[in-house]
Amino acid sequence: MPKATVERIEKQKAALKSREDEAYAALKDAEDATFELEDRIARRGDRVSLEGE
Amino acid sequence: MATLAQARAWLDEANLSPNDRKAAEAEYAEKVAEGLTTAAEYRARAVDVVQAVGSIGFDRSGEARDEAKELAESIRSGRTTSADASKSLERLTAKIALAADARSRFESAAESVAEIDADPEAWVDHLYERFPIIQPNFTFLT
Repeated sequence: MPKATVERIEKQKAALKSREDEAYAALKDAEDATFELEDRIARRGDRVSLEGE
Repeated sequence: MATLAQARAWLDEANLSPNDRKAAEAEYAEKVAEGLTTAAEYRARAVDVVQAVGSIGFDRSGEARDEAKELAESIRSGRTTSADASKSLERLTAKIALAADARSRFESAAESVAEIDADPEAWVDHLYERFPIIQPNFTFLT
């Protein structure tokens, strides 16, 4: 049974997992950026309502 | 109809004449060879699936990673609204989930390849147990 095939599959498995981890890390960062943005908007909104008083 | 293991067990216990023994063992060997051919064919298909799904999954994960990085940069530089960011996040989450599903299928196919490599005869017998309709017909058992 070709050992090369098995080794190739194992390398592919590792590469897939690594790539998926990178994708999740980037997604997490984009989520954080979204929360930062929403937080800024919320604080701006609070400032505006305070200034309005 | 029987699995290879059942046929082997019967042959090991049976009291046959030399001629009948020779014929029965030849038939058994033929059915084992057919089973090993089935295992090899399945393995070849599983390897194709592994490689195709693995390749697509790898590319899709990479696309999702790059899009998520661009999105984060776009949000932080003020080019994306909160509403658009949320929509994009949803889309990317779904895309990464698809890639994760592809990886799961890849691993499943890769496991089948490993099982067949470890013991192709046992693998094909397991298939015969799960699907009795495809069990070989041993004439010496009838």
